[in-house]
Amino acid sequence: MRLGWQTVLGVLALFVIANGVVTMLTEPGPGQWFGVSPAVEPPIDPRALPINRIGLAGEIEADTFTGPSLLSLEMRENVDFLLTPALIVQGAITEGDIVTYPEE
Amino acid sequence: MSPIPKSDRKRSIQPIRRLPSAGAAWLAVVAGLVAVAGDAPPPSAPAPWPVGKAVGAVAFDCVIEEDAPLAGAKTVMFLEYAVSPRAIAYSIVWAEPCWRAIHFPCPPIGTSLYADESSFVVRHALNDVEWRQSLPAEPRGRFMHTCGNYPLVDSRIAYQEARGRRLAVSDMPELEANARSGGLGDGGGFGSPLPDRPGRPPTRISVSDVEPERIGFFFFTFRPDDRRQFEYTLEAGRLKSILTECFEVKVPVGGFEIEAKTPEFPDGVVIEQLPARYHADGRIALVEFSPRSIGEVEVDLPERIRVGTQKRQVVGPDPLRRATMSNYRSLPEMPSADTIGSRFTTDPLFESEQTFRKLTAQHWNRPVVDVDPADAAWLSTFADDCLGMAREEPRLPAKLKLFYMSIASDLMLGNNSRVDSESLPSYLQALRDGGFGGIAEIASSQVADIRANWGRPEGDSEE
Repeated sequence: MRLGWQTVLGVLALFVIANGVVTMLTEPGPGQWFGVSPAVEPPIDPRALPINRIGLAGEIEADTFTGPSLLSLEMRENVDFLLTPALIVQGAITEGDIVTYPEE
Repeated sequence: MSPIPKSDRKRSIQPIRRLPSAGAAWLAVVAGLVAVAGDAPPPSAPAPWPVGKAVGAVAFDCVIEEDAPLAGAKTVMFLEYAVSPRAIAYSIVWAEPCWRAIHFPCPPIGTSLYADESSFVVRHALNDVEWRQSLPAEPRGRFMHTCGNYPLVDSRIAYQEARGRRLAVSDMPELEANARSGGLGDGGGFGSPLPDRPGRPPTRISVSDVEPERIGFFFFTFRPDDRRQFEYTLEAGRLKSILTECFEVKVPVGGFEIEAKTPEFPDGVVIEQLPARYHADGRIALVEFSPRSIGEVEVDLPERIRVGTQKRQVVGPDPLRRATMSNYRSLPEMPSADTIGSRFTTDPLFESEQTFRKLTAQHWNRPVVDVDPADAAWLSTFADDCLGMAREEPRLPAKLKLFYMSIASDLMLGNNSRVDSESLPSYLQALRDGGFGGIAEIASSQVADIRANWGRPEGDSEE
């Protein structure tokens, strides 16, 4: 059976359109997150962000923007940990306190 | 037969479809409540919450080992603590590895910290400086520090947060009611809110287990990254351990978020608030307690604290952080904000140590040090004295400090033979004997680097 050039062109056009749709839904472009244009996404309330919302683009940008901050957050953990033994002991020797772990 | 009208068909199908799922959901809720009610203790059973005992002020020694994987640094710090029900204080007696800049916001040795209900004081005795702060009234807010910088005085925010999260005996009725309802409380499955207290954010606790030897609960505040799971283990009413898990927290995308319309930033970029935590793999902390006699009172005090992650387990050989407490003793009087750090200034070696630090700073990292003859004579005597005292010193932090000052003085003067034959091997052996073999390896390589760049070459004696 021979296919007419119209049929071949139609199949090709369908493939291009389908590929475009898949690309748009899976690859965030500039100003896009998770394939959804910011024009249609409601403004994000930072307080409502889920904790682990990072995604592929986020993983890349996290290194760029937060690398220096992460070093300080690591320092914060280690420095604040010096308070921990004292705070636990303080709970244990204070009448009226329930002994607990301070989140350093 | 006439066809069934569309509206009737819809009504006849819906109940059949909805009943099983709705029934299952209700059955699950009822079953859950029955199960929870079955597990919950009877209302009259007293909950064995570990409550503090009044013993006055105590002091103790502590060794803290910390790892900073991002910075590639390992640190061991030797501290002395003083704690009373109203105040805490610590002094950093020694830190290793001591041969280069250490992973800490300031030179740790000689640093003291004091905090009570209203003030926060950091003093550096050797550098003769002091930072005096009040406690913050507001939450931490945006985390602005970068490049490993984090001022020690910002610990006051962590201190204030920890004070706010404390549980008190006055919270117990609420907690026990929460336990009886299986943690459901009146908060729709998130536990009852604790009564408001100054400094405490709106807090809910969901108590999952209260048994004679185990208490489990979840702790929530208004922040999505502020959730912890706690488990106490008790033995014959004595606190044996606290196991707590803080779930994985990562910062938002690069610290930045894209917002469709932001009047302040026409480009549409707003700076996101970085949470003051980055808990990759979560954090798990295990505190082990032992009964100790303070005066005439026996009290359960922490013996060891280990902090790990899902990958670096707390019970494994290489947790993220570790604190080991020892030598608990009663204190006749809690040091005040004005007297912290006095242990350094009253040390007979204090003035000599200051002179030593001034000279080493003056000649630091010079390929060939042309030491003034008077300074060289002073350093030579000082190195002899330090080595002699180090041999006799029983306390590890003081021993390490004396060896360090002897080795550094000898390196500056070019007395390499004594360093190689005695002081350096003894110093490294003291570290290994103390259980810090990894730090001994780091120190050994750092001394080798320093020797290449610092001090008078052997044989280049004073004319």
